[in-house]
Amino acid sequence: MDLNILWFILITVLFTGFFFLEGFDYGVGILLPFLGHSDIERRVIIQTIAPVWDGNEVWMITAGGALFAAFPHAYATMFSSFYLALFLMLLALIFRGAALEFRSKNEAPEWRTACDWLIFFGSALPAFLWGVAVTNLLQGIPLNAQMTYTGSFFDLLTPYTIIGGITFFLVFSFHGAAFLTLRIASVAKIEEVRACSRKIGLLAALSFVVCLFLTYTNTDLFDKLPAAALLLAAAVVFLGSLASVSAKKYSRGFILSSLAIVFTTAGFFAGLFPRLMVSSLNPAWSLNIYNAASTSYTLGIMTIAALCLVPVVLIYQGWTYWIFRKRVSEKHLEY
Amino acid sequence: MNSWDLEVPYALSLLVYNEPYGEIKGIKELQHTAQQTYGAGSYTPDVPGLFWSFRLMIALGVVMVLALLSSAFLLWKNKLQDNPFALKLLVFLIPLPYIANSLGWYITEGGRQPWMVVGLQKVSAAVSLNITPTEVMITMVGFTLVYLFLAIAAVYIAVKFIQKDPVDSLEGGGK
Repeated sequence: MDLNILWFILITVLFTGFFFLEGFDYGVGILLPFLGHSDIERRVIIQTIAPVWDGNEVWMITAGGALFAAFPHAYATMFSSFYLALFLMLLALIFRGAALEFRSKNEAPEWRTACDWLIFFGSALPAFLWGVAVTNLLQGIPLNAQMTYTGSFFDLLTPYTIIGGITFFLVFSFHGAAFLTLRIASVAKIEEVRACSRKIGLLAALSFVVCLFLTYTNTDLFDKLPAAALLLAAAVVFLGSLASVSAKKYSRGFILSSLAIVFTTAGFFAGLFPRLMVSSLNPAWSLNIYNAASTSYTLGIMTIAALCLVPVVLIYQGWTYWIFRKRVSEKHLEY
Repeated sequence: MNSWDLEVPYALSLLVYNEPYGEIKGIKELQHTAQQTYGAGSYTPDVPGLFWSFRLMIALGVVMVLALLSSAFLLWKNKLQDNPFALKLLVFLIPLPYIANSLGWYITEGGRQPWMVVGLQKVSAAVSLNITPTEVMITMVGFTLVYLFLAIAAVYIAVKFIQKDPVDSLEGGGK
């Protein structure tokens, strides 16, 4: 296996980890104003993600960094093509991070309400935009022979990509609810989360199926057996998660919703392989793991660095989750 | 340009070439050589801006070190808490690291002009082809406003904490 393939797999792993981890903390942020009826309830909900959200976000930064280092042409084309969309995402993430950290620093109710809505929009907008971005990558965007995007910002919004955005938004919301059922101490609150997750889960499942159908009609992903198998498995597993949470099997519910996200992301990348950016104008102008790659010398150095550092990162992130494994109650709130 | 200076023999040569006997060239000569190597154009960055940014950054650094040493000395002598002048001075020094940081960034980014990667790619060649000046303006104004807004929020929070009873604020944010 050459290093180009290895780095494609590594980037797949990073995006998969990012959507699995950040998926639930976007979801928790989206649910915050609706499930938290009082300030103390909202603080409990925020506390469930407070020690881990920024660590989860690092997966996105690492994925972007790995793309920059391993496939610089794909990085350049992607970030230039999605320029204004990424700007919106960054604004949302900046406000979200600031609101999460600043919320508890001031007791004024107006301040806290403003922070709650910044957390909501700061979670909802990136969730939606990621769906739009990913479905655009699958469908292909107008790239010319110079690897340059020839469309405009609004060309990125098509019925398929909007459904993609809505699907990510709903699936992450459900994933967040499944996470909350494992992290909150209050039994009454868990019951409320369960009731809420059934409604969101049904909408998410519907949207997911429509999105998969549009992926079938709009892209060539289902031509590849591994991609088709993974995406169908994701749909089945997601329905299983819905049934599990509904039946109060919360651990199984969260594991299955995580697997649904993992299978979906892996299926998308398996379908794209060996391409990174698909050109809708001419298949020959697509960016793939060879024409967009760094030199083999660079890839070699980075492989050694990644092999040394990735295990360390995995260990300390896992450790954080272990330390904060206890369910969150109203008694010990830091945020 | 310096009205006075402290000479460290060979140091600049060491910084530039990693060897003590390299030749330090003047700006005009560098401009001339660069034109011969890379073609016509200006290869001279904003010299006055860099000159003053660098000196101001170093001056601020010296002020911060002196403030740190004198405060540490007063603390060691157990006199810092009884010295309102020293305590108030420290509060007024809060903006200095931010100013020094920003100047440092100006030196890094401005000093590199006109290059994105020195000798390999000019900034003009690194511009994204599909992005319009309007889009760049939108993001520039947008980010500036966001950071302005966050700066105001951060100062507001900081002032609230400063005004709190010291014992109270030791308990942290859990309220």
